[in-house]
Amino acid sequence: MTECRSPVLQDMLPDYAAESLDGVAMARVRDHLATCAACSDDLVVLQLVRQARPRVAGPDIARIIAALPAAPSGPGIEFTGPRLVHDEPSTSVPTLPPTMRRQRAGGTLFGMPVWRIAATLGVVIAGGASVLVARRGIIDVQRSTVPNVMTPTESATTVASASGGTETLTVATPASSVHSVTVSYGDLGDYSESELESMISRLEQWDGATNTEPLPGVPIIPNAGGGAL
Amino acid sequence: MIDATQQEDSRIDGSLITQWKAGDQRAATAIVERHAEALARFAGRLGVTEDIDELVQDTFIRAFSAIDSFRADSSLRTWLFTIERRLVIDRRRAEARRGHGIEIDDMHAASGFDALDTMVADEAAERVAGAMARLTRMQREVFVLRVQEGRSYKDIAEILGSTEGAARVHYHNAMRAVKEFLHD
Repeated sequence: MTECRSPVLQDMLPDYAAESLDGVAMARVRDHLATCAACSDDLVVLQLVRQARPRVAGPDIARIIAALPAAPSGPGIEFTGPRLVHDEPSTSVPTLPPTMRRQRAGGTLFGMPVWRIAATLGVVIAGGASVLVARRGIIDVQRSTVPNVMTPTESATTVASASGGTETLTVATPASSVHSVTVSYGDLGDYSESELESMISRLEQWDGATNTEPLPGVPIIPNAGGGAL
Repeated sequence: MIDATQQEDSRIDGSLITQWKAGDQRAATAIVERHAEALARFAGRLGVTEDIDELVQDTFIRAFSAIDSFRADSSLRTWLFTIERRLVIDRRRAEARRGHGIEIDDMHAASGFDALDTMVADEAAERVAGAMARLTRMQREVFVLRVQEGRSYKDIAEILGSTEGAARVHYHNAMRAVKEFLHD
């Protein structure tokens, strides 16, 4: 048997057998069948196969309908109903119905959105922690790590200037006899009596002291001119 | 290809879906009545022999629960077939995990197809069933969808997760095999 020379019409044979083509297409296929033995042979097979469709018992329509979700705009926005008979985890249909999506949106607690409560709690905890830190003087900086109050012990160093001459610079050096002093960013109550006395005595020796009371927590490095850097 | 019936079906289904979205529960009833039998028949062709009613019900529940994801560029029945077929695959995988060892490879013939022998009435139909039992699973699914359910190659490709070209090749191979069996 020769092959069909019109694959487009051959492709239409199943639809012709199902009588689902429009009038024009049905006529085209009918004309083709009159001249094509291969397609006529195919049509016989197709009609046999269609007749052999399995006869299944009609599904229980009422039961299926009872299990369906409510219409989106109808009564009952809540997704109350249907669960699959075989509720296997599946990726078959990835999206959720609108009614289920509505349930997921916007959780509230005590009438406020959850995110707002969480943000408020975060601010309160962070603020409270910072107050505690300041109160307990956790931030202690030892003299060895931060420039501290220095004694006015000075040494003169002669260095070569850029112009070729010499220039005398005054450099402050820490006194070896000074004990380490704890510097705190807290208030004066954080210092012991001896520490306060030591600080006051050094301030009195500082000839460049201004009339303004220096802040106790701010490190001051005196230089030759006596001004604070 | 001009397919007047499918175009009309799509128009009616689209209208029913719109009505259901607007709150008309009767539209859901109409949709179920239009497609339930075809889904049951397709389930039988997929080799499902038990709980076909439950399978069809699950298919409709999934479909109505995800109706917003339905694209109008394919017909509703095509979409329903796609969902049903995936449910069948999920079931088989679940049964395989439980140790029932059911073959899920598309390239192998389905043993469950023998159940159709009890559904066909006369000798000619038995011969057709015998011919189709010799096809690979993919060939048979394509052939059933094309010949018995009247789906286009585009629809078949969507249902089976394949391409139109592959569906066309499977159809012609299936047709040749069925003809050879029937002419022997």
